[in-house]
Amino acid sequence: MKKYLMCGAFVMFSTLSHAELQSIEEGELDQVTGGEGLGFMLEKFVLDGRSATTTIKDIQKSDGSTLEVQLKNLYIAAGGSANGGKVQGAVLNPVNLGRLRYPWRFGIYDGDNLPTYVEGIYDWTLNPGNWANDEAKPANYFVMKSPKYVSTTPADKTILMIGAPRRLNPASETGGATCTTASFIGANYGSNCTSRDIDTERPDIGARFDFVISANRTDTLDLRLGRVVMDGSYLRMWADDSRGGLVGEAMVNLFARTFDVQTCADGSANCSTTTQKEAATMYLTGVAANVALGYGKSQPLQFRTTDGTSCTAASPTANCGNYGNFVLRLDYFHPLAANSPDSVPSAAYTDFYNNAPTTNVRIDNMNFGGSRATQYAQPTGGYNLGRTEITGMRFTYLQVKSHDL
Amino acid sequence: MTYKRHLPLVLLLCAAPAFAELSDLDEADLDNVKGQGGVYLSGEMSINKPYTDANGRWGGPLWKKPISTNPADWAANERACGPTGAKTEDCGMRIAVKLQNDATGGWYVIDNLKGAISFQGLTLQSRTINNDTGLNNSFGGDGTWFNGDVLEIGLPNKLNFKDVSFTFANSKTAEWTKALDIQSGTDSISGAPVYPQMPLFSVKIDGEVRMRGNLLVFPSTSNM
Repeated sequence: MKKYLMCGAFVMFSTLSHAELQSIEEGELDQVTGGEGLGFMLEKFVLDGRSATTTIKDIQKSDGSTLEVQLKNLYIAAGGSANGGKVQGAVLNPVNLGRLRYPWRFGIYDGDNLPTYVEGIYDWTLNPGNWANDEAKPANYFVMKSPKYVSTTPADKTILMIGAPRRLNPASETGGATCTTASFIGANYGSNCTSRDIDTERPDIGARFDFVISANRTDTLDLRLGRVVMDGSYLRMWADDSRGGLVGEAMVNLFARTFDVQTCADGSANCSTTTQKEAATMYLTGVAANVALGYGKSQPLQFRTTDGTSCTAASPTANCGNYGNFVLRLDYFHPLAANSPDSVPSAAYTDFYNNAPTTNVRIDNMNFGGSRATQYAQPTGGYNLGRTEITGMRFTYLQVKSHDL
Repeated sequence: MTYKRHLPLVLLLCAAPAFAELSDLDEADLDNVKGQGGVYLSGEMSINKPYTDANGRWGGPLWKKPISTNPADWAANERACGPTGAKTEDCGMRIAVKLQNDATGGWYVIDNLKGAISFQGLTLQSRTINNDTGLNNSFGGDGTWFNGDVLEIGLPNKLNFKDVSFTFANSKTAEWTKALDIQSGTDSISGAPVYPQMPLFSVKIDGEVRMRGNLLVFPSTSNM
């Protein structure tokens, strides 16, 4: 009998141990990496705005009249859909934006643990400030720098970030996809994009902008992008009292296999036949653009509006000064270390030079007129302008400011 | 004591774990579960639209609509919107954000936000993704790796915009004051000069947007 009671007691005990909360050991905790923000993706997504019109007004021209911009034919769908949206009314296929494995992200992050991918570019091996004009340049001073992962945000700040799927760390991760397929760009643009190079993970995006200049003149830009990738893009924001408010940094990556711009509206005068449309089209093939604004550690992007202090009580008129305009600013900072010979750059400048992401635009082929045999093929006919590349741009100072006309 | 008297007690205790533990439902069992379909929503949203009945005018913008179209003639609680010289429309909502912490800086403003949005077929439910077959066939292997729950927001098939509009502007003050429209004068509280509100652009959306697909939301980790 005692045996049975013991059995009963033992079973009860084991029941309790199933139900109670257990503490987690240190080793187990190390594996918990959640709670760092939200991931999100769009599954089997199609956006068809071909029957909606968005009108942007009140953009003032210098003569005081306003310009009207109409946005039409907006669509986002799987690569290859309806031949890049050229076929009106055609079925648009669904596309996944982001992946479960590498989603879009939104959250609050720790500034010292927020890696940023920096492109490999041709660059100086040394800071230009390290040698004066009359010194002999060192050998191999201009080399291809390897891409890398660095931390660009201030370590003592908490960062709000919205980010596209990330790019893999070339030093430690494998399995990425080529960001854009192009004969020249391919090699440099690595294989670290996380959106796979298939129609259902890289969308076609299109939109038509009609600029209504006057009652009898409308200019059109009809944009069609094929297999678009935005991996590695982000917008980060944080508060910085020493700089007077909200600051941030932004990276816009745009990779597209094709980017066609037609400058007339389908069906308008001289824009009805295939030949007429092709003659008014600029074809870009293999586009890779990185636009980097701000370097959080030493040169964050500042968002401001100008104040009204230049308006005094004595002249409170509409034109009393430079006020009420938005300002985006990247501040200049002194390249030289304090109290040092002219040739010694400051630590912040060296860091900026070595680690700040650069702005690069590479277009594998540019063609005016002609036609593509298939959606992603390089165009034939027309005027071939070859390859265009601008790389390694850094802003030492930038101020974008609106002005009342 | 006899053997038999305690047997039922022991059996009861031994059965207890079966009641307590959660067991997996297999596919056939799941088919019989009803009422797990989430939420299906259709709706319409109007922003700052006044409602008028026999008893008067309700809701709508903060300001009374003036008779005059000239801002200089308006009372302190009056405001109308529209192009200069023809300010006859009701005004919409105003959202103001200041991004700098000094006393003199201006505000970014989304002003005169109004219009109606209607949608049909927005769904909300939770979903377990642990394979790459059936409904999960588009994840390309990620579904099996993910092996977890997501919040699934089914996008509305149709989204109708009716005269949805707003103006993006820079403004000296967060609140709208008459001085912002007549483009001179002083702030009624501080006495400081007020510059006009600078509209950067206005946007108007009209028509039907069709959407398909699901927005999946889940916790992200540092290696994602």
